[in-house]
Amino acid sequence: MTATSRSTVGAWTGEGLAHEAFIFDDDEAMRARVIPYIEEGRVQGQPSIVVASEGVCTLLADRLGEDRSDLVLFQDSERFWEGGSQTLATCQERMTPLLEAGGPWRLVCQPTWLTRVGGEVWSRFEAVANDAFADYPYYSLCLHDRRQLSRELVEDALRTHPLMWDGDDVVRSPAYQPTAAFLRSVEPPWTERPEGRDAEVVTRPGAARAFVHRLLPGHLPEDHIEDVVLAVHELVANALNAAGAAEVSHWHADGSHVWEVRDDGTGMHDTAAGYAPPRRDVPSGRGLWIARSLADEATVRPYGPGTAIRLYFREHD
Amino acid sequence: MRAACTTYLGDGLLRGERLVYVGDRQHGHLVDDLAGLANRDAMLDSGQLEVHTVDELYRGDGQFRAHVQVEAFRRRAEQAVDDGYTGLRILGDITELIVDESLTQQLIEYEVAVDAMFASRPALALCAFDRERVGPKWRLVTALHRVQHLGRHQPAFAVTVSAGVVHLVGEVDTSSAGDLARLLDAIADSTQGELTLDLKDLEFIDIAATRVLALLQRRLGARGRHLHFAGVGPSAVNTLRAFALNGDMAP
Repeated sequence: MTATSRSTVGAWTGEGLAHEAFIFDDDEAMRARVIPYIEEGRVQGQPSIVVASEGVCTLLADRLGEDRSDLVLFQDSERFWEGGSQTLATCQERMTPLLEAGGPWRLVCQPTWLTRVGGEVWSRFEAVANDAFADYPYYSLCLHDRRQLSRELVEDALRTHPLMWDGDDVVRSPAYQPTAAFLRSVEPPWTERPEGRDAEVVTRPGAARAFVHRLLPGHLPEDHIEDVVLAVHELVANALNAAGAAEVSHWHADGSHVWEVRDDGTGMHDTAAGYAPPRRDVPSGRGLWIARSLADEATVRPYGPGTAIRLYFREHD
Repeated sequence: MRAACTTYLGDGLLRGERLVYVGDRQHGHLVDDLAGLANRDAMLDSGQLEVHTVDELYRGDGQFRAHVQVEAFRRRAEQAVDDGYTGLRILGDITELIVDESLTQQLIEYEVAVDAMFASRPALALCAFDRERVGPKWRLVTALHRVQHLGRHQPAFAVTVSAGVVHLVGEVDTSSAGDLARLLDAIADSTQGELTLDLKDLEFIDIAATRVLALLQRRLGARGRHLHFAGVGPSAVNTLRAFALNGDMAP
């Protein structure tokens, strides 16, 4: 199969982000989509970054010939996975030189880590990337091998990518959902807080740390304790900034420790807050991001004029 | 203060050290503070015990200057050994110096330098101050002392400097980030070249305090100076990473 004369990137003109879920069933279909995409980028002076499994990289390399000076290959996509927050931050870091060079560029990304334990949370970061990188001038072609992914993961891909491939052309994904709607559908439900939970109102961050230390079982690994303390502390620090006082609560639910921090100051309560990596040039906005990156789950809701945030940490035996 | 005199100086007496007591009150009152010391008067006569006002000891030529003061204490420490004592022990109530805003930079430089000088000599100093008179600045001053006796107050953090390495000790968070910034800026201004920040004795650091480190690195970098992080343990690795700061891990 050879490259067709039709554009491989639909209506994308190199301005802003275009984000496509490409679902394939066999290697030939994958090559037929990706090779012309990279070659077209070459013709247009757009470099390509490929993050994919070793198998996919080998299949591509065979076809792309000797000259790969405008191609950056990361063969081992497995090693790319460092949890959702950090992986998205790494993506941002890798793209920064291209952004500074003015772009546009093309990305081929096969998130093989979706099938790992905890890797399914990546679908949320795919959703958040639509907003976080909206002004980054690149086309993101996300490879999804149906032979390796569950039906749910494929459906999530179509809900988080505005574009898809219909076998012949780039089209809108009919299943695509706005970020907040998608996040709420996959995050833990916001249930009533249980009676008998532990709770304390604090006005100093040190008091909140002491509260967490008091409630965490002493046999937990030290680095886990430090993660929980830091995550809760950062939420409390934000709450104290916004309101001067924070209510910290703790309970158990479905095999997780839940920590909730509430304040009634006027603050942020965007569902997607803290998913996207902080911008390097802006020194603020890292507290919630680091809390999310340390917790297994985190949910944000309005609480009156203020904010309530819950962190979930899976219980250790 | 009298209890501190008896305990701290009495301990030095048992060790055969020369004892120096400094305060910002009249001489006679300072001597009265030492009533709990056995042989006080005989020690005053023999020269083992000295009592000075702050003006006498810290403002010899009318003004307090960090490097002059450190040099004076270095000579005193050596003189004590030459005179047959096992070392020098100083108890100083320096409230008067702390409340003087014009002396803050000098005081920070002094504390950092005297710490480094004493580390290599048989000398020991206990800085005392009246928390009521000093006000919120007590945290800043306390942070310059590795060993802290704080009564009922929350333990804070400490910054000490030895052999060109800045050690950050204890817990530092959003409530103390301002003091941390002021101290590190003062230390950076009084040093040259590469600066190493050792975090191995850090028990907790949050995003707000790490932001201070990131901004300091950027500020030094703009002047061609490098800020290097050493002893990075599990308590600091997450927050440093959030600012893309790297350092050597603790062994």
